Amino acid sequence: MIMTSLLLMAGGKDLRVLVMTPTPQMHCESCENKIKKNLRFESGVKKIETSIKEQTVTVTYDGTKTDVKKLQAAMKEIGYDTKVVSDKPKEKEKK
Amino acid sequence: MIKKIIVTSLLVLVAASVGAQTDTTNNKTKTLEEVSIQQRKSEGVSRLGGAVNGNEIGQDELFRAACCNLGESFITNPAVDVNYNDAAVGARQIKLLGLSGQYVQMLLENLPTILGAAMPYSLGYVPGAWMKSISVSKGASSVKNGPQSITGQINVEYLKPEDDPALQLNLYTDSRLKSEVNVMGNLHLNHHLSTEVLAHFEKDFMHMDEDGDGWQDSPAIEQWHVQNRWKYQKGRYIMHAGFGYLHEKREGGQMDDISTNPYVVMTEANRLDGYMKHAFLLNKDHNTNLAFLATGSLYNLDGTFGTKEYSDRQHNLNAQLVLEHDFSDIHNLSTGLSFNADRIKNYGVMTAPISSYHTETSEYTPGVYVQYTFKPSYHLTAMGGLRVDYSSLYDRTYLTPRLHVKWVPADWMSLRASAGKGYRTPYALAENHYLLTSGRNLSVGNLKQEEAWNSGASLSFYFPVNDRTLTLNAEYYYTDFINQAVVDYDSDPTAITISDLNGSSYSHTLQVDANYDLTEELNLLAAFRYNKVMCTYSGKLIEKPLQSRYKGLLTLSWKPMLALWQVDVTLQLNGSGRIPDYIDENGILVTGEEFPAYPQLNLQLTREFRHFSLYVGGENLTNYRQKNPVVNASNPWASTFDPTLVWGPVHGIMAYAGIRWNI
Repeated sequence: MIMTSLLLMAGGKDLRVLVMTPTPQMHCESCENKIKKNLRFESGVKKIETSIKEQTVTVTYDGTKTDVKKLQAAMKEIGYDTKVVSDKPKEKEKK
Repeated sequence: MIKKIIVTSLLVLVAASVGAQTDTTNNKTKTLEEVSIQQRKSEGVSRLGGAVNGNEIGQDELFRAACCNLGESFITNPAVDVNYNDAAVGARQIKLLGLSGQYVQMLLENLPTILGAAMPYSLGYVPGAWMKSISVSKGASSVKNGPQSITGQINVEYLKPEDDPALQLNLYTDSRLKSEVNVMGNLHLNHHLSTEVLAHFEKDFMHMDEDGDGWQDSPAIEQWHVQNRWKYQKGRYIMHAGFGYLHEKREGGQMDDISTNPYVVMTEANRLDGYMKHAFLLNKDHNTNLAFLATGSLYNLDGTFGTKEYSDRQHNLNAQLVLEHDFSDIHNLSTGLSFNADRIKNYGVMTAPISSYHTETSEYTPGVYVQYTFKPSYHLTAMGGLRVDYSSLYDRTYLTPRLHVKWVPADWMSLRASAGKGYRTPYALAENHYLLTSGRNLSVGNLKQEEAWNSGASLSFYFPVNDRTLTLNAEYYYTDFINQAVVDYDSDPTAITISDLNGSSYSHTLQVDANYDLTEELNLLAAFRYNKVMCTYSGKLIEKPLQSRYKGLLTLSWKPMLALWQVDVTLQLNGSGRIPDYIDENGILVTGEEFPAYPQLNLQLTREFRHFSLYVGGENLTNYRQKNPVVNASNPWASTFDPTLVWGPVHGIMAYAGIRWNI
């Protein structure tokens, strides 16, 4: 929490990874494309991954620009209710 | 019933897991992590599923270029060439496997479309903004749609009434002051019924003469086109129906200020078309369905080419009754009856000595087909078909056998092979009426039905490279004509003769291509195609003229920042070829001339916004133009005048911009 605040004060990004399950389910590539093509316009979104097999939508976003509620609202606008599976800070990639 | 259209993307995910290894020599234990190879799903081009070799070009791929109409939708496709036939009327044609577009069966939503006199302009009759996807299949296609496909089939799918309701606007303009407006809107009236209206308007506001030869580089076009399409679905019944109207005027020829008696080329065309499809799902477990499909069109064309006049009145009706059934997951049968009626009337005034002509051709073709598909596993698909048709015009019953096989021995490779026969009825004058612009004497013989065998194979490999999939493809096709309507420029340099083949005519096509995502955002396609197209003219087997011997293609697509930006670069290298003998403006016979290889570079930048996208681009950025596309341009009334020896671009560099808006 302290680290996040320090980052925010320094003007840094607060990268987080949100995993959601959509309803109705994604049943084909067309559904995945619809989600990706619409969600990308949300401020702060950095990366969007979808999995039909897992029925998950994983969004990497900048927590200083958007939040879980806004992302869920964006999904609602294109016809998907969502349930949050997890929302965690993005781990730094191991070199 | 609507035939089940199966469109799948061939994605190969190769995952290799390597377990822990123990290196006993140094007492170190190395653990390799699970490696997964992924391919960025191409939302642009995907391989057709099944045994037929081909690609589906989706909207994302179409949006990589301006794609104003069907003719401009193949810029990034290595297999299809699009060229101008002439520099006066602006007729364009595609070439597939080195052969002219008339050997490619054109379908609109799996129904035959645009033939006869409409063929030289057909590519401009399909607005790019209306298209949802294009399927290009190579080699003789399935017997379901008729015997006509010899080198392949192109099927265009329009935007659907049942798509998410939307109102879309597309505006385009370019540096030649051509402007276009497209409006596409669809509505779901209730749970069962939906409709859409597609509207298109285009106009060239200027007459361009970039090379200063006194001739318009291409005709100024004004076109209106409207379609209304419907879908109804309830229970086990589905209906699609629609109708459309097109009006087009073209004006080309000499620039107004060149002469007090300018050579003018004018055409005016009207087309009314309609279609319906009724499908009944009889048994869901076995996908048993019965479908009735019908399409019809009325086409009128009136043209003036200098002192020559040409008119065409064309009526067409095509109807099919199709039954499909899955005996199991392994065995599928499709069978059907078809009936095709074409009536084409040509009349007008030919060259001096002035004479009028009037021909009328009617052909009624009933047919029956059966097609069996055997798919014992994911590894093997074999599809064999046979159809029998009768032509009232030729009083002839003919068989069309076709076989397609797909074998997937491993996840990282697939092999396809096909062989089959094709037939078509040549409407020589209607399909080649742009030749009336030439000063050469034009003669058209009584032609037999065209007939050819086509066979080919393709091999595809999917290799994991740096966590991404490298796709390599190699294919070869051979087309051999038993009979062909040959357009002969060579036997007599003062004449053009269209007559039956007397000798050999064949085409070899070899293509290799590679596709790879260099990064998550950057895709590269490299392709090379070699054609050897030979035909017999007056007993001599020589290269077909005005045909590039090879084509190289390099495309780069960069989509950074979640594809909110997109940069597309396309570089083509079109090979050299033969120019037929002709007599120049000084009366000297020019023989043995060849045209050089030439490059074409296109670039487009697109920015996506939530409700609209903006695009700007340039075509032919190397500014390469064919010098003197019009032979003896200063004397259009001479017999040596010829605007039909076109082998390269007639326009120079062109910039364009547009907006696509979802309201």
